[in-house]
Amino acid sequence: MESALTAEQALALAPDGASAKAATGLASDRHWVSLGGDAEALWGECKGSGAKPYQAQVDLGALVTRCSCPSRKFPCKHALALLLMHARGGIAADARPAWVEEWLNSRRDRAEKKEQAAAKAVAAQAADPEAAAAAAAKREAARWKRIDQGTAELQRWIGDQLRRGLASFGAQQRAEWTAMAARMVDAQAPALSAQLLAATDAMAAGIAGAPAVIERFGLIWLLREAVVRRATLSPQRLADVRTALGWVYDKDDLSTLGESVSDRWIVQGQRIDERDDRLFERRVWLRGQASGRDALLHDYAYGGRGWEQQWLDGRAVEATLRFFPGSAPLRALALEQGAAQPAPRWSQPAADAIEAASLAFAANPWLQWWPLALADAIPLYENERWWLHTPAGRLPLALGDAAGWNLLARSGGRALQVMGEWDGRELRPLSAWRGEDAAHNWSLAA
Amino acid sequence: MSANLANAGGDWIKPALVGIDGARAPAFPAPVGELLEQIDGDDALARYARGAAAMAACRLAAVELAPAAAEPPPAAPDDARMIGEGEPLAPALAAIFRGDSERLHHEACQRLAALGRALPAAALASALDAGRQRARLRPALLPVLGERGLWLARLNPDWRYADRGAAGAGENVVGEDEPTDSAAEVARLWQEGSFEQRLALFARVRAAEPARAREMLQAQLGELPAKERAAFVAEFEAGLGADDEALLTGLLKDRGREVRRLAAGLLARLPQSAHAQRLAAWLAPLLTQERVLLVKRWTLDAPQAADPEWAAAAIDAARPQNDALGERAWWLYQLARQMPLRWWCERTGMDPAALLAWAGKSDWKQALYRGWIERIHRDDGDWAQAMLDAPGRAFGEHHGELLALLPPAQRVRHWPRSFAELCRSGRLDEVLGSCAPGQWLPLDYSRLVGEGLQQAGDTLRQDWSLRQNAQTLLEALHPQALHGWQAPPRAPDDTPALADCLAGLERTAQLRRLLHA
Repeated sequence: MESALTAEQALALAPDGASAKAATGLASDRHWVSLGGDAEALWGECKGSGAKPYQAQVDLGALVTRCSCPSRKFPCKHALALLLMHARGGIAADARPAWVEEWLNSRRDRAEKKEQAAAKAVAAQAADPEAAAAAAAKREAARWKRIDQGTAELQRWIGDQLRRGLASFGAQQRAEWTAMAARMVDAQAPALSAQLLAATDAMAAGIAGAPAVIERFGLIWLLREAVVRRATLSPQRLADVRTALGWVYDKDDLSTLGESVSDRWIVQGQRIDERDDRLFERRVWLRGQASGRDALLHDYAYGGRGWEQQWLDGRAVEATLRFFPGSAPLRALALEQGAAQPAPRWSQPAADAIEAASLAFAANPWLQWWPLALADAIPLYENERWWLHTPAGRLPLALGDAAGWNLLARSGGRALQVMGEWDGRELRPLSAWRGEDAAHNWSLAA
Repeated sequence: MSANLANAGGDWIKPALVGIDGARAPAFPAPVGELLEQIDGDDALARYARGAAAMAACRLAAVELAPAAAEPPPAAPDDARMIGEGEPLAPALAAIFRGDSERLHHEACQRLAALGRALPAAALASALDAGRQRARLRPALLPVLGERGLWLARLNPDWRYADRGAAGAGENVVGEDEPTDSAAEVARLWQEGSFEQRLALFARVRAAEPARAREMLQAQLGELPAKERAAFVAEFEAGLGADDEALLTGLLKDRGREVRRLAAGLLARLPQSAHAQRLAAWLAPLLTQERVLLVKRWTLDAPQAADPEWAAAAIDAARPQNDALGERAWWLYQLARQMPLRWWCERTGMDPAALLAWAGKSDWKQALYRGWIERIHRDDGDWAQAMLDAPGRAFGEHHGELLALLPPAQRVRHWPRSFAELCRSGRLDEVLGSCAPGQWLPLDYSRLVGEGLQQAGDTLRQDWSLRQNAQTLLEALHPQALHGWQAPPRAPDDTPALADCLAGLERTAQLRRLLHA
């Protein structure tokens, strides 16, 4: 078996501290009825609360796990324990039992079926391109109509807010703004809903948040004008507008619109947010070693079903990405991918990174984030907030106190490489590292 | 940052705060303003919103950083003692300080000190927080913070307690709350600090300059609530001396009963004090020797009547309504609880065991036993031993406190001889309570109860309150007793709570084994 993850990396996959803790307790062979592994997978049967032991398994290539336990956490403590024992070299090679074979086969089958379905869809389109195009155009027209109505209403509403003045923001406005955010969901412009909720939060924190909200309102106004003039926009600009509305392209669209880039992609950092309703949102930032392209994989997991693929910071994956169209294309889907390998991290001088971010925002002012991977950055705590000191100047950090002090402790006041999401005002650090030693590599988003 | 934002926003922000109207067209900076002029037919609102959008786009596209006005503060010096991120101990220490077990925190610090190493970077922030919350961890924590930890602590005002350790390395100042650098700092803290800070400051000043501490307290006595007065008076225990008599004597008239009691108890320990001598004068006549045939025998009588002088000696003439003692016994008890135990031995020539037996047969057993158990002090190890051995566990409910007064090795013979008995007798708290964080149970005893715990799966299944205690017990076992120790095996029908408990035991054992590997 190829030595896959270190124990720390395995624990970094844990969905929360409790799972990590529980997994460490289970990572001893006395809890397991059977254990085994080969180059592709790990498996084991763990004594649990049922008469039958839980069957846990890990696909080492994609780092996907499955377990028969009822946990809604993903990966569960049993699968994590397997990875931990594997990291310690505690799992001996063995012949694959039938239940593992079945699972791996079913994963392969599913992947094939998916491809077949996609091929079928393409074939159907090819068989009767006119009918398919007509149906698609009809759906699209219906959605534009709702967006048209919704954004017109939103524009009037923003006008009202500006006429009234933001200084009078209070409890009543808070309720109004939240209601307006809900209306944007109905208008099938979910990204605008999120923008309005963020603006509401910013105002609730006090008048200091107002300038950012006014800028946001300006950009939404501009978006409405772009919606009105959409027929005259370039394809890239139209894609920017759609993305800013939260109208995601689906896979079929991408097969014709999207640009494909094959490269060795370094996993630079990631962030997972838990939403209220057991919905997890994940953003994984990649950097192409040969292409020099930045890419964002943005996906969701519902009800603890977990991710189709785990991406570990500081490893690289050979993959073909298909980019969503736009003036500064960033978001992508991973099509085919190989196994992850340890890889050196990538970073650049702050001045260059800032230049790249400025160009990206110049191309598309509705961009939500741009990844910065800064060399030679010293974290600082000054005036009761967190900063990153670089030769090009200081960037304010969006960082919780606990994470901030940990970052500071690890830097010791010396320069690190720090990767994070730049939203135009603050950098939210996602990972930091020093040199190429995997031991000096920390994920910050918790 | 809010100031920065406002500046970054500039003048064009203000109209949107107070409300846009046509009359006051806001001025946007030159190129944006000119472009807006070229668009015809706009109302004021549309013009403003477009201007705001343009300003936002410009700002985003021309990322401007705060100038690095000053160089960053100096980095932490290199420290060869710091555990590196790649060492196996690093994740274990990070895990220990992510948790909140005080015992494990102590143990980790002590172990690092023994190894001559310092905490890894990943554990520092949580370790410093643990020290902020628990002052008694600090003496163990400060020596293992290392250069990186001290550097970090200086950056966070919440962690100032650690900074002092660096400035005064070599001085006996570990475990302190705030630096005593200057008189002004002491005065400020004494006036403005929290109760805990002022108490810690007082203890520190008292150790260094007792006279100054007395002055400080005397000056503030009138303003303090009774509970705080009592806490400060309790601090006189350390380094008690004849110079304390005046202040303590004054406190015999304090409004607070607890304050009066504490002061009286302390004065009684100063044999030359007027209070101690009065006390002896009241008690001595009650204890007399009579000769029966050839045998001399000590007899004790309780006071016949209340002495009016008692009021000035923290003795209440009036018996509380529901007290179990009779009136005369109540008076005797109050005298006994002030008088140092040594006095009884010196006076009668009996040792503690003999005195306990003698009192057990007297009419005043209740009063004496109650007075003596309240009087016992950490210098009275022989009394603690005798009370623990007293027939019928006469001081049973106090065994925890009494055990804590004995050196660890002497405690063992008072403990239940097996884990099962330990659980049955309900004396687990007593055994663990006598073992302070950072102390272990003796090795043989650890092996004995560790083995019992390993086989206690069924007990843990039935007794959920034992689960928390089992965790603490495992943390207090001697590390050598952990070799080969395993948590009780799981059963198919274990509840998730029990499974968590067993996994927790296994994890703790693993962490501790790593620590001592």
